[in-house]
Amino acid sequence: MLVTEGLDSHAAIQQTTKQQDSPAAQGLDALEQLRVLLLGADYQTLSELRQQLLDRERYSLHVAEVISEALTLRAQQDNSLSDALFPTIEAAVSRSVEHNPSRLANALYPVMGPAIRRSIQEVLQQALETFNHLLEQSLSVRSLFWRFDAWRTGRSYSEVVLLKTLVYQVEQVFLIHRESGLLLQHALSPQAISKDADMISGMLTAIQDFIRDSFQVTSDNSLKTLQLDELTVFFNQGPYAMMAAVVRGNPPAEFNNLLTEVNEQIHRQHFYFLKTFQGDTSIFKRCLPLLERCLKTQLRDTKKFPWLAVLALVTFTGAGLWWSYQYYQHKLIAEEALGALRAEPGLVVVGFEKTDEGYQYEILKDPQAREPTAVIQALQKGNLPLNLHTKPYLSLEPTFVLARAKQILQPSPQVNLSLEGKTLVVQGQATPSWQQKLVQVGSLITGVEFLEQSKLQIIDPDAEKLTEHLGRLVKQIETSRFNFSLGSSSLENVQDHAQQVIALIFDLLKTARLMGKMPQVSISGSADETGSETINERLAKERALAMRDYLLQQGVPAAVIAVPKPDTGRRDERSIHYQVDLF
Amino acid sequence: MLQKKICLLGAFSVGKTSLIQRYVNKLFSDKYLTTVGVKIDKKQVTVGSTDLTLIVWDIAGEDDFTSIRSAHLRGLSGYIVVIDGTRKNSFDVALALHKRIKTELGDVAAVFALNKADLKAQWVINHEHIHALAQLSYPVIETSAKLDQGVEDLFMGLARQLVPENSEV
Repeated sequence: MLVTEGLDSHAAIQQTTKQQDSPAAQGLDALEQLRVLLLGADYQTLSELRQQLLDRERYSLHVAEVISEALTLRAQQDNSLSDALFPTIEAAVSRSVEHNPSRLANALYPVMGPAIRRSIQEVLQQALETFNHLLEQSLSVRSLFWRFDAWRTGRSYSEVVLLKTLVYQVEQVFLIHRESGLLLQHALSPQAISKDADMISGMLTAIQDFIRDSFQVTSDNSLKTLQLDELTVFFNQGPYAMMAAVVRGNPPAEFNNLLTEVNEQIHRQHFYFLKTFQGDTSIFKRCLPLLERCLKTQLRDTKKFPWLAVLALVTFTGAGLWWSYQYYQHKLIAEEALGALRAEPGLVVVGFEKTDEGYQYEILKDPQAREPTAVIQALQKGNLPLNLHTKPYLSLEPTFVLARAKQILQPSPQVNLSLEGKTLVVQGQATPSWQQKLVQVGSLITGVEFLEQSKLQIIDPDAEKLTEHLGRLVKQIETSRFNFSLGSSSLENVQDHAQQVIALIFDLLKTARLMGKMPQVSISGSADETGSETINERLAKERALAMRDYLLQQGVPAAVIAVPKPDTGRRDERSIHYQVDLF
Repeated sequence: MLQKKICLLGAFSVGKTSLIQRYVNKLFSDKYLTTVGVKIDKKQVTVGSTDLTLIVWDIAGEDDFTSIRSAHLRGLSGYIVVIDGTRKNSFDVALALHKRIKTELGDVAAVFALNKADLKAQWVINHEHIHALAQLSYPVIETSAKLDQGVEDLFMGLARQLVPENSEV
């Protein structure tokens, strides 16, 4: 008040001063004197105050002394200060961010971190609850009842779910200009469906007017709620704007307070625009966040621990972990098997891969090597699919060359085989036949290029027996006789003799061959002394030839039977006899 | 976005609803509206460079027994008074309504509609009447909802008055 007075008097003084300048200088002194007379000591004070107000610096100093107290006082009285400062602070913050963003960021950092963390936590929690909600709706016995209920009542399933699970849901909030019924702003919950909000807004106003006119109520009273089944419209009247909230279910009593609070805030912030509203609604876009604050939803049993979701998550995670563990274990075993197969002599792993059918091993195997399945037998547990694909090959490792040589040569215990480089060293005692085999195939064995058999002693245990047997055979053959009739060279009843002789000749042939010899059986004939010598000589020759031809006819090789020798001088015998020669 | 509330006024069965139907071709809960006595429609128009949404209040007609509820008229930016050319009474009602609104709300945008132009042969409204209306210095437009004659001009005639002149240019 003091300041205002000061201003007024200052204005008056200034006015009069101007007047003094213009008409005449005479009046000025008189007027000044009159002032001094009238105001006395106060005149001095007033002049000082005037100076103080005119001097910008001094006036600022004066205001600076009281400005914080003034702000505090006003803030205690009402909320107008925050409304008044709000645009300025907003602009200041905005400029600060434009000018130097890091400063504000640094200042907010301690607040933002926890807030962001909490926000993430809430989002996760919400997601878990939604998931649980979905699971419950689709799995629980209750949901089956609801579906039955929906079928029975002819409602949609979602409607039934909403009814059963909702305590309340605010579907729409209208901010309506009270006088014209025009819609200033409208907020809609994501689940709700709205018809034309502008027309609804008009109708809500018309209904209000209708009630007020029809039932002669005073203009202060107005419709508070409008109810149809589980749908309620709550009205909140402000001086210039009305809020209407469409609610499904039963909201708590505080909901009305919330509407009042929001309406008051809107009036406080937009009082001027509401008062002077001429149809331009764009300014009220700023009210949308406030209206959205009223879009509340409360579900039943919201605090229930989300068992189903947690169970499902735990199951999925458990299964995932178990699968990973199994996979890792299998991989370890497969790699261990690979190591074992690689370490095994005579086996070469040329390929290893994991396919849908399991682990595949491509293996080359020397015939002397251990079976690959035996190598990994200890590792092959359960139904782990380790598939071995084996192909043969020959190893050049000394052990395997030696083993191969032993297998092919089949040496007797008296023979010792060893390998020096690519030379197969043969020591000990062996039979000639074995030695023969050694010479024939020894150098053909893969990995063996030379044979060293200087220390091999050849012992033939069968030689003596063979000689004896041969002697016996020679004797038997040489003592065999076939007698002819007088003066005849025809072979009569020769079968028994021939059979015996042929068997002996074949045995002889075989035995002689074993000893490396070739036998020759000579047949000679003889005659008795009854005829002339010429006849006898011819008869003897014919007899030998007849037997020869017969034997050849019976299959005795021609090489064995020699031409008949001349008569050996035996007389008085109508027979043939044999002589064996060995070459 | 600019929004304006406009009202259609007039005696019973002068064709207010038909005019709106013709103009908007949209309905909002017929049954309920009949009971309450008002029906609301919406139409978006563009005047010059201004987009304007007209919220059209179709108020039940007035006669000797019912009078229009003044509550419905609150906050209106303009109105259309509809006269049935075949009925003298509707002309009198129109003048009375116009006078009442002028008293209650002061000067607001208005247009007079001489409806049922398709029945012009039966009209009882003559040149003198029309001249008297024109004296009120508001547009007077002959319309026929049936033939879609003058309907667009009628609403646009009102809409032009609602948009501030500076934005119209």
